[in-house]
Amino acid sequence: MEHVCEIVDVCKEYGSRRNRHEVLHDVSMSLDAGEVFGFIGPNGAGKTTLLRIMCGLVHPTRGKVLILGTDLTARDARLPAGIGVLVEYPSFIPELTGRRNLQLLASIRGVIGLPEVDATMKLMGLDPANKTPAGRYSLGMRQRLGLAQAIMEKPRLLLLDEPTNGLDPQGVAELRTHIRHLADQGVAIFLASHLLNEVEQVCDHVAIVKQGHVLRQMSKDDPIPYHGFDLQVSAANDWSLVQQWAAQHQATLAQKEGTQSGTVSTAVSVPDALRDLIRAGVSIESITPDRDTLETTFLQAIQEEK
Amino acid sequence: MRLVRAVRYECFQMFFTKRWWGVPVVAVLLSVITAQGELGAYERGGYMGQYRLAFNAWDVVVRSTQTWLFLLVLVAPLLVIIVGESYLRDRSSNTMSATFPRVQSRTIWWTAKVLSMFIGAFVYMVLFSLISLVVSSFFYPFAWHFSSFQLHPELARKALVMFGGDNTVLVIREETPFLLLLHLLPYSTLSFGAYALAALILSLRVHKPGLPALLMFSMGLLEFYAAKSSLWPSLHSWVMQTRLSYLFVNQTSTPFLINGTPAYTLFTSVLYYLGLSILLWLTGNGLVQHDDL
Repeated sequence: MEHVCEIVDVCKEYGSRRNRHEVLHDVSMSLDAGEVFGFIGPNGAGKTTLLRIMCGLVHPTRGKVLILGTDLTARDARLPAGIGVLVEYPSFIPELTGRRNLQLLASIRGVIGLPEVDATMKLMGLDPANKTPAGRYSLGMRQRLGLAQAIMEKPRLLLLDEPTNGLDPQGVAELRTHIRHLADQGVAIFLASHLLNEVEQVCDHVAIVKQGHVLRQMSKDDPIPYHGFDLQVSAANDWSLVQQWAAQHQATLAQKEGTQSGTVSTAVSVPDALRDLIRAGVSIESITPDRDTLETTFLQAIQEEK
Repeated sequence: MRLVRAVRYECFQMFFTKRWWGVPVVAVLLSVITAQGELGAYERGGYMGQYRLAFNAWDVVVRSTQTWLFLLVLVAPLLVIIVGESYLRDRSSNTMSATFPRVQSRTIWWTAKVLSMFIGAFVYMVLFSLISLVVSSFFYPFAWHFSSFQLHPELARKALVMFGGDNTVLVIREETPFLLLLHLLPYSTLSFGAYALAALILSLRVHKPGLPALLMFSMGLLEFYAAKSSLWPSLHSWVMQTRLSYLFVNQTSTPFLINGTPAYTLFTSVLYYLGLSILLWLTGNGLVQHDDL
């Protein structure tokens, strides 16, 4: 099956021959319909550059970029239709209303009219009848308008750069819902962000990037490394029972000083351990699995790179 | 069709900028300088009445839109700031990520930009001429014909000699001011459009806002002073040989004659600017295909 987006060994360098500065180094990834790909990294990692390469604004120095079946690195390549883009801090004609701005942008391709523009604005929580010029929109409203312009023509590939910038917590939650909804409708979504939580919650695949190098790529289906669990019990007597259980199961205990809690390093799953401990009469206050999160993986990858 | 719609969007972006307020400011300034300075001095000299010559509003309009120094150091650089910096505004405002995926082709995108330069130049000159005409009417009477100073160049020349200046008189072939405007506007649109296009091409490589306008302004100023001065002989001769601005604003293809010496016709001028514009379009298109936007 043809990928919606395929990037093979893409490099991007800036500067003169003597003073080359590499922004992207051998980046490869693919994205299929209905998938959300998170590209995470600190500021200056090359996220925006990759996004600009994917929407045809920037030429890669080397490598291949296939978008919706079109090789953008080919001579005289035309950008295929069906790409929606939202960049960081989107800008509009400040004197015109949000609706007029979207209408003008939509008129370039001429495939949708005002009803679709209005429907998209409503979907993004914007009032099409609002006469406020876009220049007086708050950052959050501008971001919603930016997302509306990106999705109004029902793109097959959606490129989002820091889409939650300026959004309030409710807006962020709504955006996550929209992203998942669009993915369920078959839209391939590329999401560049430095917010790990945002990426972890919506993405099917994640690439961690630093200074143009992809350090690690992960999939939602990959097994998550499990290290044991954090446990809190009611009394000192309970903790002795836990120690007995740990000895039987070759688990390592690390008790927090002065408390009846600690970390249990073991391969035994939480449900199995919970069943055994309750059976042994341990009164458990809380138990939390100790698994790798995107944050721990990210920090580990960055640390390894150092 | 996509090209037409892309041009329309470019024009909306271009016209909705506060920089257009610079047009009335400069038009008023130049009209007042012309009316009170140059023409006012002739009147105050008292030689005009001696030959029964009088000015009207059109004298101010013609001079404020055709004086070389004004054109090179004020009118044309302001056009660059308003119209020619369109690409730099796109870059700084992040709008290209919304427009380019819709336009889909670098050639169409560039062609739309180029065409918007000429539309911008046309609107700029129409606004400039109209504002100049309105301001001039406060200093000299409005009429549907040219002034006696303009209609009798021989007498005007004699008056200027008595005044002590050179006897250079701008002779206009057109019978009425409206015919003049009818000829002037296409000429100005093409010449100023080409000028703005040159600045646009410059901005493809020089990404600092204001710098293309500054470079064009410096070029105009340098040419004006170097052509008049002999302080730096080598610079003077270089400038006189190259005269870059002749490419744009002094390729005298208007119906104007300087002391009766004909230069080019409007037809040859249009051909010249079309050729120059195609050359500039090709140059820019080559850069746009190769460069990052």
